[in-house]
Amino acid sequence: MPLPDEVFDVIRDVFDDPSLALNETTSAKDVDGWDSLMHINIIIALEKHFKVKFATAEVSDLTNEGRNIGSVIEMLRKKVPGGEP
Amino acid sequence: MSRLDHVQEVIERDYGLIKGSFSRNRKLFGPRWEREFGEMLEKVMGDDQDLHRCLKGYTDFAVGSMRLHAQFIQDGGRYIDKGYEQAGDEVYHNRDHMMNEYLPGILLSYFLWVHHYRQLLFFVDQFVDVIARADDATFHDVGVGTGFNTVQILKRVPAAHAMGWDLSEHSLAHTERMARQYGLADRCTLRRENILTTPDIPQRPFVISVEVLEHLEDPLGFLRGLYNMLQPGGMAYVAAAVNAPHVDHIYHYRSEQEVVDQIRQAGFHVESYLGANAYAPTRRIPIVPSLAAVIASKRPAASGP
Repeated sequence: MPLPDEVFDVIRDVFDDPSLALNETTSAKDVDGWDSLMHINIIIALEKHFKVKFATAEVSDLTNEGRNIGSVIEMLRKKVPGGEP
Repeated sequence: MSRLDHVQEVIERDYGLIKGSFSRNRKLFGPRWEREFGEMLEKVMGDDQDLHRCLKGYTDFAVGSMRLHAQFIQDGGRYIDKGYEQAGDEVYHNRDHMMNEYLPGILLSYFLWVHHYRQLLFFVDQFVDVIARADDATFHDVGVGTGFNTVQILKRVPAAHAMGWDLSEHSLAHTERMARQYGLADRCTLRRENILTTPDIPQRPFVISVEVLEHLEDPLGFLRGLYNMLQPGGMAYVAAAVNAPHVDHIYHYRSEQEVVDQIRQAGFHVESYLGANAYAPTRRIPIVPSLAAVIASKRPAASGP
């Protein structure tokens, strides 16, 4: 499965909503209930799924203005073996 | 621009993880929250270098806590097995961790965590108000931590005088600095001693101990120590974290009632208490952090015939 699709699935699982519409431009403000707690839950679920670790600065950076799911995928590509195209 | 508005601007620009909690609590708790938080930001984080150190510390503290909570859920709702000595080495006697993450994290959590702010309201409205009406407003604060709670009393009750106790030199330094920043240091005496091994501690009409019990191997023994420090007829305020894994939480309270029961077991008469959740449970997080805050009294000695 392509990396973005795996990320979408992990996020849908955290929200417990298999039909949640997501793409790389989706950001926290586009999704009801995506607050700081949910953000950490998503990060923890991604860490577990991909067996990687995000530094606290990275976790925080991903919540800044202009960041979206594409930013998460970009960060993950650098961490997952074979993640970079 | 007020300090509070400036801090909100800084948070929205540089600390995305905090901005939701800040704006939610500002809206939820209104002018009183704005006034109290604004005052603390001015007095304690008055320059931007300090502000950034504290906001970064809070972020590390909050992310660390949430990670530990995820592990806690995964482990079936159990704390990691740890003793007081290990927690002391990792936290209380680690200057860098205490001054740059732990203490700023706790301090900001009083305003950024819903359950901590609710506890502050309970403390001020139900307990500090009693001290303000007392003839003798002296009190012990056992486990001063940041010094925040001592300051809450001293700034509201001009006749109050604190005797603050802690085993961490960094907690005492932070408390001393905070009391000075609020102009209250002359009414605050600090001691780096264990209340259970210090002889002849004078009894006071008020004793507070806020979120200390969960850091101890024997909280019941500690509560009995608090009871002995309280004058007959006096009032105590004791709060503890419940289902809240932290790097230094070694005693696991599984319910608010457990805290209340243990306070009773130590001899106190429970007058009232508050239970507050950090957030609502969900399918993924069925057990959420909460706290129990208890106002308890020591019955006056029975009078003779």
